[in-house]
Amino acid sequence: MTVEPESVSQRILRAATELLRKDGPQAASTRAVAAAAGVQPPDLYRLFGDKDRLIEQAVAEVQREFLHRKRRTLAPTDDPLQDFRRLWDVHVDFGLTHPEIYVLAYGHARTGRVSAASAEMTGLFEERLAGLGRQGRLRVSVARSAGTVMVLIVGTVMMQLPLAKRNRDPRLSAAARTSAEAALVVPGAAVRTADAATNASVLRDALQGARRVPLSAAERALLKEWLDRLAAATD
Amino acid sequence: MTVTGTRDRILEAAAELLDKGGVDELSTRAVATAAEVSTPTIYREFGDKDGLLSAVIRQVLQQYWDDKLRVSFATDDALADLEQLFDLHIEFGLSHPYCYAVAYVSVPEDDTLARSLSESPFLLQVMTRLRDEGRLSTSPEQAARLMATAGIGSVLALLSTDPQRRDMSVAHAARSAVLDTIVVDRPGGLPADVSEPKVAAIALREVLRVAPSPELSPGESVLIDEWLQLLADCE
Repeated sequence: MTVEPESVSQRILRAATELLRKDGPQAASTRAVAAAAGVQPPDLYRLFGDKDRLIEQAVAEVQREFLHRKRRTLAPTDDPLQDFRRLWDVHVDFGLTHPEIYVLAYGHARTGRVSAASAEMTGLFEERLAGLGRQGRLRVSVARSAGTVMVLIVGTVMMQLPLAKRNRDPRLSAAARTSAEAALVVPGAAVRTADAATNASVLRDALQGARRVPLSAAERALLKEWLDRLAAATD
Repeated sequence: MTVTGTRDRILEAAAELLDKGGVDELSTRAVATAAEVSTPTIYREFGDKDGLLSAVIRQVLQQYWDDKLRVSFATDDALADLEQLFDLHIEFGLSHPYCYAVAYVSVPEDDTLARSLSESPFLLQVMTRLRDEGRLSTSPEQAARLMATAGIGSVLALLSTDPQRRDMSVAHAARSAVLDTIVVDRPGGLPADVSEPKVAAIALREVLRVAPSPELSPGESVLIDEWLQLLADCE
């Protein structure tokens, strides 16, 4: 069996990630990363564009490693609400134990762009929220729900980060999570079978008496035809 | 021209450069050009670049502090004042990203001056008013912390969005989520009964995204996805 040789960019990223994880952002200078990876600084610029891009990738990598260590806790179950809560708690744990990296990932006032780590985390929340959505338990679309979740969770961690450990409020995270759930999750909803036929027929019935539907009459008629077709299909 | 006038002009020019390009843009030369003074004048007034930087941050935060004082007792409706305070926080964060980050995005050993200016008593005061009116379902301290969580998270989410595409709805959704948790029977709050067409549209959309139905042609699938999204996001 042959082992794929590590590419130069992988080696640079690994060196940057290790420096960042062990000694913090100050230690991950271009020169230190190049030396640790056994390359010249120009190689680093050629492959990553600039130092910020490299650090951004390394930050995302540290987060991935953390999530990987928590993979048992995070393994999806058939209860997406519990899965969501576990991801929330793991995220807060990551933030509080990695203050400098967290600030780079979620607090960088790099206007106008989402960091790689933040985009990946949003994707993980969206997966869990989509699970809730398929069970008919989400009252706000997945994308908007994830937006609210990210606002509240990043705010929770940022509020606590500057405080000494003894001054942190362990109840704040739970309270913020409860706020998010109350706004996004249908209370006490019976879990629905997550198939197209069931959901199409539920939607068709719900639309029947509904006012304020953002579709024209023709569109509604067409949608109804499709919903009939979906509802009648048996797998 | 008086000495105070020069100092103010330098601070104003420096604040503008800081808001536009962050600390990298804040060279003494650039400030001198913008304020139409000589660099030695800047050194005489502020010592060095760091002295200038902390004077600017201090002034911008002080202005924000004064604004908060202005809105926090603006009306006799505590809830309206609270919403004003929240919006002011967002506005401040978006117009002064660098100063905002210094004050609100920091790890323990960071600048204590900025922190002491950011920890405002105003949120707590308005929450105490709500409590005294019997409208708070939690302690004023906890309510203030939750509200601050939504504020900080919102600013960071908006700052990481392209300025052309910033949408305040993400901030207002988080604000509502928190208000619904802390305020008893909030007018305009989350309706107890959920919009069934909306929940059903989210459910069907997420089901079809994971398992497209053979009942619908590729074109129909694209169109139904769009319509379901409209239904999911309608107010």
